[in-house]
Amino acid sequence: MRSAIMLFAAAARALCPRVTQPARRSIIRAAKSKVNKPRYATGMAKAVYRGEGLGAPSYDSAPIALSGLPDTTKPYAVLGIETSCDDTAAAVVRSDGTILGESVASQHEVHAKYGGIVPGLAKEAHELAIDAVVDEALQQAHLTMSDVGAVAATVGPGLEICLRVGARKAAHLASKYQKPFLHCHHLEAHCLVARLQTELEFPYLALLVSGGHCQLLWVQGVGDCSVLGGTLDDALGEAYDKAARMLQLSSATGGGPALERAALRGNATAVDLPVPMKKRKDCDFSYAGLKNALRGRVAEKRIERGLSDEDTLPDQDVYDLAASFQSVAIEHVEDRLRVAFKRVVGEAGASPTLALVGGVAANAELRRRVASVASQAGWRLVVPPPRLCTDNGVMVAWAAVEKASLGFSDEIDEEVEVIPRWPFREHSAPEPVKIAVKLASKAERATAAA
Amino acid sequence: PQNLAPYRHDRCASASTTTMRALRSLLALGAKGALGLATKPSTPAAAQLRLASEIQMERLGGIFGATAANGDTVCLSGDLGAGKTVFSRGFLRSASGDARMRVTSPTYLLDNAYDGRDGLPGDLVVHHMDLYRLAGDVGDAYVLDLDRTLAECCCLVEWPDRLEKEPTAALGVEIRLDGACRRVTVDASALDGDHPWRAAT
Repeated sequence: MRSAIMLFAAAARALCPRVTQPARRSIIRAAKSKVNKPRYATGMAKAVYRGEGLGAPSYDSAPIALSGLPDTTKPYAVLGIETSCDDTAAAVVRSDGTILGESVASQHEVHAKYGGIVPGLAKEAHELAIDAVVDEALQQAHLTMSDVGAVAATVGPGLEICLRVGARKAAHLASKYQKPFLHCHHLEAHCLVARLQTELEFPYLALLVSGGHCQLLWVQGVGDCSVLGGTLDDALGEAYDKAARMLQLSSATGGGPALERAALRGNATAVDLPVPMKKRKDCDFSYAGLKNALRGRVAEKRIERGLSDEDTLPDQDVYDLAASFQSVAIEHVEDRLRVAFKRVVGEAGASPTLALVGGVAANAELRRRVASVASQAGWRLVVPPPRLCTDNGVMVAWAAVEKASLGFSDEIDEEVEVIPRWPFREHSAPEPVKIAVKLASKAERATAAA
Repeated sequence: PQNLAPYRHDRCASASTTTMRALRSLLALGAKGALGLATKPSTPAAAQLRLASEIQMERLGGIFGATAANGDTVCLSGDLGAGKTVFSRGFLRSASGDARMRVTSPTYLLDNAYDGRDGLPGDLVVHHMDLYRLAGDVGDAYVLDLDRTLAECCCLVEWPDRLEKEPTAALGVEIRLDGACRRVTVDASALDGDHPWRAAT
């Protein structure tokens, strides 16, 4: 293999003796990438793709199944548990992608049920919630723990105590019923769920937008995501929520959906708001400036209408402000997407795809405008159904199916170590190819201009 | 050791004179305290400032971040967009010495922890918490492991009024909006007399 590359490189050197050093390197890189193109087919070992420097990924180790693997010759079910932050969720998913059972319990429902007054009860409330949610998921799937092929849980990133509840429950089940146990990365699970119900090959771009996260990720495989850009202050979902609060909009499902509904009835060009970071051409997001600008406009409107701070604004003003805010917030996303498309188009292959994931993917206006930007740039858009975009157990179970299909599983340790901080590595752009361009002489340029 | 102005990139050109004088007098007070010179016994452990820009808010956070230690707590109160996270950003950037450190809002994630991996010195761990989304019941305190965290780590708590029992022995920073400016009240009266933040205030 190496000799083939060396021969090719020698031939390149021979054919174009004056090719400059960087260009020659890119020819060699192109040759290597054809020969050693990473293939993430089922059963293929893939440890970590370093993606650095020239050439092929390094296969550090053979796949390690520390707690065994399910029988991959026929469909098997995976129980996935997700408890990284607020919600407790579990689901049972079959390895062919069928969702057999799912259940989600919001933390506040549990505390409301228990009144939250007795101190020790809070710990039990968490642990009772996980039992209830796991039992419901299994019940819906009409399976018992002995029928399940593997158990998976989010071990990070998130809040340590919450992660521990889910991870230890999963480890306990895996140990008790002697099942393979798999760790999952919360954000990676969000990205991988786009592959559950759609044909989606690696690598692809993922725009992860939720209340807590706002990132552009380059997903090259399981265990191989890199960050193109993230938020400097507020996430998109958080910006929506705070804007809704400023406009005194709220609903049972949260400020974001309420603002989306209000925006439908408003005029998006009525209020002038600044698009964040127009001058910076990178993939980072920032919504704090927009939040402040909105606050300023709300105050101005109040003065204009002769209202005091406590009075509510007239409905149409609220709708117009909501629509303008949403329009500018999404324009910022569009800007960043265009930059991201340019940055990764070289690695994207023949049919570049963007996956829109995370809770805010449920916003119809965002989906519509992202679809438009993607199609203008020649990219395909994949969006999972809304209930798979918010935190759920299905994505964890599916991420485990993907990991198990590559031959990995993790050791069963009842005192499992959770990983509250588990950042992805930064995406390193491939070296730009330097091309030698012969500039016209001064005289030629002068005659051309005349 | 006068490391109270740690930024390598000084972009404070547009600061108003009055406010810079106020900040300099804060620094001077800090110097007096550090050198052990007596401050008048009737010196109030509270200061009021009027800040004209985000950069000044970050610098204010930086003054306290420079002398942060495990066990310290800052309670940040103020409305949406007041500058609580900007203060925290200045605090963390000064504590780590990294002027470009990324510090995002913890509103949804509830608690962002920073430690040696982010450049914080020694075993300093800073928890940047935001209780805005919490309903204020006991279960929330459990989820954040508040008792242990407040005692063992340095904490920046946004929206502390969501807690039933606000942390005692904390630096109180209250930020009020005043047009395009911010009026900040820093209150160190709950801290011990020899705490560096008391002198800084």
